[in-house]
Amino acid sequence: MYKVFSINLAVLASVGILILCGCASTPNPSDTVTLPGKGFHLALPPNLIASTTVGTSEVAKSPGFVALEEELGRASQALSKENPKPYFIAYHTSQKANDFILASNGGLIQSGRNRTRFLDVDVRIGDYAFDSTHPMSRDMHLGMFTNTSVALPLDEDPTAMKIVAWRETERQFRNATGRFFVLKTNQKVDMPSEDRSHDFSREPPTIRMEAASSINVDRTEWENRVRALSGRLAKDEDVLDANVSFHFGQTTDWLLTTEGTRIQTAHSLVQVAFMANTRAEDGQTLYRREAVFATAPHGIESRLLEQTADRLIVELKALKQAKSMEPFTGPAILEGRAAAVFFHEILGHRLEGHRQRNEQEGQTFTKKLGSHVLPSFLSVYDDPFLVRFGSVELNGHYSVDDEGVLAQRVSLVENGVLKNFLYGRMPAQGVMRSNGHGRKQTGRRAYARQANLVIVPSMAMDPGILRDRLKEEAQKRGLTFGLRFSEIEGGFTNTHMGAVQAFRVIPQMVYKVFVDGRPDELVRNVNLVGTPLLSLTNILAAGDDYGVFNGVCGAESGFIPVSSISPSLLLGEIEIERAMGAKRKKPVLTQPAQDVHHEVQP
Amino acid sequence: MNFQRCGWAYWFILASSSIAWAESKVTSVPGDEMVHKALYDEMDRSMKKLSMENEAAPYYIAYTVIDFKQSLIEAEFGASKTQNESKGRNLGIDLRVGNPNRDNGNFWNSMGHARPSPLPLEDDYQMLRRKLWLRTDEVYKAALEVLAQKYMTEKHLNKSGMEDQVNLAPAKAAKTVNASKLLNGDMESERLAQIVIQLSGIFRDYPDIQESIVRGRAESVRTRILTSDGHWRDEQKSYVQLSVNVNTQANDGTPIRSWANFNVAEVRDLPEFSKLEIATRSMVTELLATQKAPKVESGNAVVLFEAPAAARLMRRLLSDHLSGTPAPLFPQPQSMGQPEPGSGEGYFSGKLGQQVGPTFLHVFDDPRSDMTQGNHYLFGSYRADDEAVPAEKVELIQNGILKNLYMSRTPRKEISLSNGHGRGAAIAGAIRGGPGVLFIQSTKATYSDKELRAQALQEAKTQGGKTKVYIVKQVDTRQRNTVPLIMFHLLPDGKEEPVRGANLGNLIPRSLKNLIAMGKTPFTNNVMGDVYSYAGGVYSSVVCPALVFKDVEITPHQRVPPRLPNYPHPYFVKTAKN
Repeated sequence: MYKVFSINLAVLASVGILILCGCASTPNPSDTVTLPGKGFHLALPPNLIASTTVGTSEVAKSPGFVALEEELGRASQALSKENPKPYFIAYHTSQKANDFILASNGGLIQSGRNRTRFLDVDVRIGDYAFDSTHPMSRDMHLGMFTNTSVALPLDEDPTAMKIVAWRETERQFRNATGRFFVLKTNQKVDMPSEDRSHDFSREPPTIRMEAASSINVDRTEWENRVRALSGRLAKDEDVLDANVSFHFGQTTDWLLTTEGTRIQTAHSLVQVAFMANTRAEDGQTLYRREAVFATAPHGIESRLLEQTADRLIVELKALKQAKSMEPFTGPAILEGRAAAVFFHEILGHRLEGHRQRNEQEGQTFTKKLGSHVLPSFLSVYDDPFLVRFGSVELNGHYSVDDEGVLAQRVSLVENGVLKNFLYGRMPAQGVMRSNGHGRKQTGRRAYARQANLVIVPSMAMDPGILRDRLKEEAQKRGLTFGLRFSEIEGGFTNTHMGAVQAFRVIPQMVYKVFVDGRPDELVRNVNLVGTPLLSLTNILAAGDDYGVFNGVCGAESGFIPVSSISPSLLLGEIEIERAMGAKRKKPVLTQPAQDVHHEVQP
Repeated sequence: MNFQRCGWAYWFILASSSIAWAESKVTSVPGDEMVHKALYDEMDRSMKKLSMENEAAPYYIAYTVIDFKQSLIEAEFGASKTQNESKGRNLGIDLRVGNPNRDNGNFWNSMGHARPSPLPLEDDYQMLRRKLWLRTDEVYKAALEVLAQKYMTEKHLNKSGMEDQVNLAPAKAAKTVNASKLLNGDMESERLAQIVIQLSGIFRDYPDIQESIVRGRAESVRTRILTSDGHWRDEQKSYVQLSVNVNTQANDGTPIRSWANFNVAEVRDLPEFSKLEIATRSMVTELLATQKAPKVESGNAVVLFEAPAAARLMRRLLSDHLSGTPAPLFPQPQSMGQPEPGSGEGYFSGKLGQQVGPTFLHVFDDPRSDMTQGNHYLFGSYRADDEAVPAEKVELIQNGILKNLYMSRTPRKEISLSNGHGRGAAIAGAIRGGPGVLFIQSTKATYSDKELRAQALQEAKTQGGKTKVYIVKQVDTRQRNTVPLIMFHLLPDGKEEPVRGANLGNLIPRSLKNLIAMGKTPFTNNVMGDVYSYAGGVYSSVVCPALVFKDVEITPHQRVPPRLPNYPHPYFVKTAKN
């Protein structure tokens, strides 16, 4: 079973979308650092703002919360008489209110609101060292595709909530017991794995009760805005089809464990997603997708959305005229948002803790702690406390992870040297504690995941100088151009040892930068591909122009919101391949609105 | 009859009385007619102009627009767990290139089911035209590819002379309008929610029930179909289904379950609450009676299916197997995931004129009425089918002999015309024949419940002393085997004792010949369709009385049952303390 992880723009109506918002930081003079060459200066850290609400806030427990608390106590007491008995039970509920609107070419396709409340019950048999969740060699990693949630009453009827919890606890207890017996037998038959870390870390209980999110959306207003935006895209004669969607999700999560954790957290996320397509002369369908994220609908200005729509049209028209590019190897600049996706895929996923103990994993970096994995001018950390990058809200923010562990800033790479991994409550490499990165989608088991991945250079270049360096690198290789990756739709990577340790980043706007000073030329039909270790060692320099990629990342524990922030990077060598995609001739007939005489196109 | 491209104008003139509209400006067309005008204009343009160089042009186009509203509520123990409302508008296109004797239809391709695409909810002429234009272009190009593949496959199979394989049968142009006000009216979602929640609350009286879900689903569907040979269908219908699903375990841990359904047109038509409650409690009482019942023993038996179970059984044995639409041609060579050649054809399709059941068996399908004589609402009724062909009564089995099949406009050698039973979206490039309202009757004697029991006992006696008689009141036919949920052993002295844990392994369409007696009072079994794409089936009904079968093979369940709960139900433990 191969494991492929992807990040992309969140999805509406099966349309993958990407998100980008750029911000540039101001160059800062250096005074004490020895710079490696012409053009470098000491880099300023990115303009990041962290949450100040780390402390415990208190709201009263709701009747439903109290009911589940009582039921958890009853389950714990009753099942403690069984043999084997659970040593840990957790109730995780997720209540969501979703408002969604979809418009196409100026017409409303869908508009609605739904409410859901789901319960995940985690019952662990055995002990912290070895329990019923211990990996089995024949386990299929289908976390992205399976769901173990059960529906809870929408209104907090205590009795009805207890009944669902009782039934699900019984079911999960039965499953855990059966699995534990098989694991015990396997233990006698199989050779022990190299990493003998425990199965579950011991963590102090967390008590935290945040106020639930409750924002009313003016649906009529948003229907009009979304409809108008899709019409704005569709009015251009080159645009074949255009969709705009609005999704506002408000989530209140509860976590109650037999260790004493009692948590209520609330968060909300708005996504306005754009999709427009056209067809090139050679028949390739060209897409531009983009999404704007915020934590509340009123945080999104109409002007920003209109500008986004207008920019997509301009870019789509340019893509239509662009030439298709053949496979290429050579130097390239990944602008901030492109570099952010690049790091998320090739480094971030490989630093997730559970991959360091699973013998089915490629374990690219498992034995490289203390070694150089990046150029010494780069450091990387992941910080869930970050809420904004300049004016852009970050998707990956949280204060307590999905296993009830307080979020932590984790320094992963310092001056190019690997220092740490991201951990949830599954220990690895002898590290026995979580660092607050256990994350999951409702219905999945939590694994270590990225939150806000930040790449910081100690020395950086002005973008203009970085561009000159690109030309120099191209010249060195006898090439007439290098490449500049501007807009990225998303990417994916494989970390499993059963397949090639490779990644693919899917760009939308890629330019040739000519050595002889000609204007940059947009190209299309390319993907950026490579292998992780080689690609990271090819980083030659960083710019001082940070970019942020907000998106949704899918892996074993489901789809979760993430962010990645990076400066532009100059890579000495990258490889691109031709993108797949069927080619169709443009529509035989003209658009109905233009076809007043029913004329057929020549 | 001219089906060539130029025939389009001819067919429209023929049908002009039924589908004419004012030659006014687009903006002056009333909202309700805007969809029709957009469909017509884009179809007109496509039939006249849509053509690629050196390639066939469409000779037939059908546009299907489905508007739907749906309300869904689910509750347990007096508390709502799901409450959703949605509405939408979908477009389906059947576009044929080639000619009626050889076109792109009825050929398996990677698309499998035709994919409906969403249309704007608003009746905006230009927006509708734009979507129709884009989707028609896509479908046209795909149709050309499919036709080329089909030619290649025929060549590979040496079937180039498949002259008997007509792909699209002619049908008389017709206009079918059966509009009501339901779609834009009140779905009474709040009233439905109130009933669902209240009914789910009665399970506070049943400590032995582990799970009880009450679900209410209300749908209103408007179907508009325009075809290039002059058919126009505009039909609306509403459906409400209230279902109660109950799960628990027998004393040895074996899961046991049952359900009750109430099907009406509108929420206001539901029985008064006290009647719903009585019916639900009655179902629960029967289920709980099986909790302590002994397991069934293996062997052949005579089985009396009471009317609700019989109607469900006949849906499995008959209605799913009466399609006359020929199986699609499959590309060569076979590719992974492709169904076996011949699949998709009904079991009975090759048995026209043969004896398939006892001589008293009379089976017909008549979708034209919304209510049975007993005043039961029929989900499967319609005025025109999903190819806009007017519905017809079809005599399927007379005196036990198979006389006819469900036919869409994709004909077979023995039946050249549609009989108004093209149902659902196209599968493998063709809308297939399917049920509407299936009636199962006897042309000879029918029996009361008491008489049926006597007949069953008599049959068992004839077969020998060890043959037992069982009564099945509730049956699950969704699994590989037919699984009775509520079953009783009928003793020779007339006593009924609950039993459980049986599979009825050999009940297949051929088993119709083992039908020996039929009851007097029919039951109506309704099934909700899949309003989004029809991929989950079509709305249909089976009207059937109780049935007695001989030689039914009884096999006990073999699975090891799960354990009983380790600790008690939270509500009833509290009640006990109180």
